[in-house]
Amino acid sequence: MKEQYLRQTAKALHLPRKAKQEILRDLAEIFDSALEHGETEAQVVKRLGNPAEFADDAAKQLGFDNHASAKRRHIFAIALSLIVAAIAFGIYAAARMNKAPKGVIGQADAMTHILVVGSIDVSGVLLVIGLLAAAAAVLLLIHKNRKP
Amino acid sequence: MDSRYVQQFKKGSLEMMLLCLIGRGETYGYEIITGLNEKAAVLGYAKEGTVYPLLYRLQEAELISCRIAPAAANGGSKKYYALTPKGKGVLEELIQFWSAYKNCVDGFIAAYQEEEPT
Repeated sequence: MKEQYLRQTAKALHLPRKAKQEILRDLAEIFDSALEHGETEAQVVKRLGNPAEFADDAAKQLGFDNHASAKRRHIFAIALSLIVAAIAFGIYAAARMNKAPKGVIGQADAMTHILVVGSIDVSGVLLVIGLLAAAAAVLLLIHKNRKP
Repeated sequence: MDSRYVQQFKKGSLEMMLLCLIGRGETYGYEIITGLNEKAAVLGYAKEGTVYPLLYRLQEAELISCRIAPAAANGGSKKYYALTPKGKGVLEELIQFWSAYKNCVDGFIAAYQEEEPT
């Protein structure tokens, strides 16, 4: 139980190595001292409570934000989604600006009405990619604000 | 009697009691916890989950220092805490503030109890 608790706490601690080692060493001492005085590992675990909460509390008082790296990843994901959406919409818009519809051969004054059969509608795909990326960004933002 | 208001009082005073405990002489985690439970039963059972984060904060503020020594009894190691000169200064300040604070609050309570309409 002690080993499991230490493992779970280690997993929940996103800190520089030195700070993390210190907290884990203290935790080992907590168990060792309590066992020395006749307590069981189960009693200690019950008293310590949730490993993730213990980790958060300890990290906070040591002056660290235990969720900083997770937050950074989250913000990076939002930025990436927004960039993908912007590029997709940008290309889509540029393609639409081109007066001739897709698949038309030549750029004569009058359209030739010869459509290349089987050409994939790239602009549609881009639009879908853009919408998906934008939706992802919005969902990530909502998630971020709900769980600060 | 463990409302939000009581919790707030407990939090602030526990740090001061920790400084007093450690100021009496070098001590280690388990001794601190049992010391709190003997002398401060009114605060409820002092748990490692409450005390250790506070120790980290005091350490981070350089009010206490620590050294690690091997613990013969269980084959592990023990961390011994001591008050730093800065910690001693802060504790003296807190003690002075506490007596002024106590007098002030007591004054309000006494006035309330005298004039409370029955």
